[in-house]
Amino acid sequence: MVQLTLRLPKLKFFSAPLITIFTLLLSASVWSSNLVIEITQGVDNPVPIAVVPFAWSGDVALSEDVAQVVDADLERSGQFKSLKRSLMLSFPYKKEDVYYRDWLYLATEYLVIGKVVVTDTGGYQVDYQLFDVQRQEAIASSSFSGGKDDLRALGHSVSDAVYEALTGLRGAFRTRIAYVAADKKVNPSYYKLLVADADGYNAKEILKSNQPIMSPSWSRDASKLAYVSFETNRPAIYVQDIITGQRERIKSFKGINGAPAWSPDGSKLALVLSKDGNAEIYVLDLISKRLTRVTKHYGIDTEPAWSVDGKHILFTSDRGGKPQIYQVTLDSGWVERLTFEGDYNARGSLTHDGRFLVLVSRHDSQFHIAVQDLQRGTMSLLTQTSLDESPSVAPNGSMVIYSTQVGGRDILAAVSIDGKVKFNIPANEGVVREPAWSPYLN
Amino acid sequence: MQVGNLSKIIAISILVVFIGACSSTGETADATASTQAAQMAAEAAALAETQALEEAQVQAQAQAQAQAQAASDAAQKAANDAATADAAQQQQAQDAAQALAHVIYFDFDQSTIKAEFRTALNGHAAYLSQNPSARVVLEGHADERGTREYNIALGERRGNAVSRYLVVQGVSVDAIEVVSFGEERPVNAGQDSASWSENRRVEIRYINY
Amino acid sequence: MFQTISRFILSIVVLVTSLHVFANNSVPVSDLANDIAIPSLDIQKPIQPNSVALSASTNNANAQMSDFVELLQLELRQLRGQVEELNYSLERLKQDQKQRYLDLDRRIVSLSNQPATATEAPPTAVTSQVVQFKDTSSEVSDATSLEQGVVAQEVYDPEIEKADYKAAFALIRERQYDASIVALLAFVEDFPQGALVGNAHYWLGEVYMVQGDASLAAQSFEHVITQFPKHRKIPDALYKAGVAYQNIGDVGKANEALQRVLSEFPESSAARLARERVN
Repeated sequence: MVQLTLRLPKLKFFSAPLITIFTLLLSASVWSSNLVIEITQGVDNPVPIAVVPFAWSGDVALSEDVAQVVDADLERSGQFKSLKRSLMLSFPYKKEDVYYRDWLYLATEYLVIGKVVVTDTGGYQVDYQLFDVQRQEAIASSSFSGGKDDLRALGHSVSDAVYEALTGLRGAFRTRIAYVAADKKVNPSYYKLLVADADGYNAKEILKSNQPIMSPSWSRDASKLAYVSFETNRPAIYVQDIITGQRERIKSFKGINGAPAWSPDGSKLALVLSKDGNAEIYVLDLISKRLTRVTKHYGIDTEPAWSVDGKHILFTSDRGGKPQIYQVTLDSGWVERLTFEGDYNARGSLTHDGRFLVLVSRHDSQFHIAVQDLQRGTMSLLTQTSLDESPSVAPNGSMVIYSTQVGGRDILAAVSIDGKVKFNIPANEGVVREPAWSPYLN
Repeated sequence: MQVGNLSKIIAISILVVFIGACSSTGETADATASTQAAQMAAEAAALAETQALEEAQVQAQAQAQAQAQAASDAAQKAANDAATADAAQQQQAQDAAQALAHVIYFDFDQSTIKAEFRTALNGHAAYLSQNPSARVVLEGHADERGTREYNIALGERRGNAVSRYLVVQGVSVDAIEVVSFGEERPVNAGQDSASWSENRRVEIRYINY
Repeated sequence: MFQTISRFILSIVVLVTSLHVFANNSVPVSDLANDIAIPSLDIQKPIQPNSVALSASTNNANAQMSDFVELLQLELRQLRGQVEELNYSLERLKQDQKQRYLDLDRRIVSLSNQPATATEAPPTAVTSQVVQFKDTSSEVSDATSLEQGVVAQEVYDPEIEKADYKAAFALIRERQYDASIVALLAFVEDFPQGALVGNAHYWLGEVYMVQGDASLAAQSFEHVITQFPKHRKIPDALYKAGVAYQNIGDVGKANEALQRVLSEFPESSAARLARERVN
């Protein structure tokens, strides 16, 4: 208690200017066009962490509360439980002001502090420090800088660094998701292709059409999207630069033009065409424009996904009577079946290390997201809802984003690869589906 | 419900075209018939569910145009040759084709054409093989269960099954195009087996009669 | 047994291939039919409505052919699926078999290398029936261990214990796994202080493993490790527990058990197997 009273003046000293800034921030933040994330399930013992509001000495309030961005990122991972600001006893922003007892008293295990300053070029620089409260030592610190519109991105960079320091796994907070939104209840009804930050903010429209849009796929440098659009009343594959908006239509053929998937080196596109009679996998060399047929079977072959080394393509085929996931070796054309459990396994993709196969699997007439350990061959279900589809794995393999239905509406949701953490991302208009998680942005 | 709407629209269109064909031979009249048909079709469609709206308009317009064209051809022929019998016969055959079922339904995960749809398909086959300029698009659809790209392929398999049936009946492959929309364009947004069975379908769309 | 299965698969493959060829050939056949059908329609100009029905009926044979091809393709796909699944289970069976063989081999080696020193008497006697050799030193150790048992518990007949154990073990040899579990569970209940109860727990674990219940197996091996820390079976129990945990997917516990074998019993054959597992 003595300690507390002694600290009080300090608390006041730091908090007074900051608190005013935060109230301003709250009113400034934009919620309307973004996705909102609701955590539905977390790990049993999330690590308690405190992210102290970052100091800012400018005259005008910042457009974003950077510490809040970090706080929300860590909380959303399900692995951390962040301390409410109202419970904090002090708001330090430099090492000398950190009194470990304050944080020990609040049962916090880790502490993040930081500050935001303006750079020479008119952008922002964010400095952060991470402390281990128990051992009373700093364990990581760094600074990130960016343009004047990059505050949220800088916050995500801090989250990535903190996450990596504490879990040993590269963070995937500074990434994006592409998804399809549709509203048929409005007139005229529409389909949209959107790109948002991984936390649902900064949603940006890439394409709007009155005909279906499907199957967005990221280029390896996260600068372009390949997708299928029915805007001509026929399916065609387009490649669009998400910054310039410039787009190119891939030469289309009679019948299906679908399921584009970028190769790991970014030079090729796997796709599905039915020009030769029924759905088959092809590989298009984006430089030479050469098209190579990969599969040859009168059954359906679709949903190609590349192996990590780019030497194999996984695909869904019903050549065995029921849809199952197969793998073809590109050099030899050798086809091998990968899934044996259940009578409907489709849309497989691999985690970054190639260890796990993430897929849609039907059990008791319900479609779930499942993961198969390719070393041990065992499959486990990650979701319990009934119409789950379009799983897409984060570049660090920690989470899977997918679409599901709640109250008859398609929404996005995410689940950790071990099934322990889950959250829903409801849209505020229409339905959203077919999420695609971007690779790392740099 | 979709079928009901469509047949209503078709009925209206036929009426309009019939009036157009009887009353005049001029191009202006045809144009009026075309717009009138489109308007009436649009009005009819406005009453229908929003789901049907888009498709109905597209189809009604396409049909109205095609029919106006056919009517125009027929009328011109009548004026030049004074052989009205041919035109009447043509019109009769077209009416017969329009009266046939335009939607073929399928069982879950199946692309087998059920016996009950064979009569309709035989009729379409006969019309298409006797009218070499006629063209159809077979739109394949699936219900929402299963993955989207797989359903695109499944929709196409259904379209191909209908196409193969027509070709076997003597229709030229060039007269048919198969386009699959997978689960992207359901006619019924419901989530029960009745709704699903309405969505597992192939729609036969004439782009030229 | 394998020969039968592989012959069966071979015949399916042959069937599938021949059907495949047929299915492929039948596509041009229907095209050919069209070529015939179209001129026959052209002749019938001008077209009468009833001629439509006529031409349709002549095409019924073609339609049936088309249906037939489709059915064949469907059935072929289903057959292919079954072949794939059979192959898969065969492959898994082979692996299991190999695993079991290696396991047996390891046990024989360990038996022939180590003259039994302490508690493992009756199992040696039983095992000797399996592998057809007998070591006189084990006979001696039999006596010692049973004597110890007598000291531990007065109201207890070592002969009955030995007989019961033998009976349970015989069931394992006869692959009557369910029955052997019942017998072993009864045995540990009847002779809680018996000299062979540790062995019984160990063999319970083995049987559970064979039956694919890795979680129960792990429990049994764990029981041996914690309740009989001096037991001669400890290295094996640790190794087996490691394997069981790996099968459940508990990597942490698996590594813990395997590392213990490596550090505490580096010279044992279990350690050799554990090293392979860890790698």
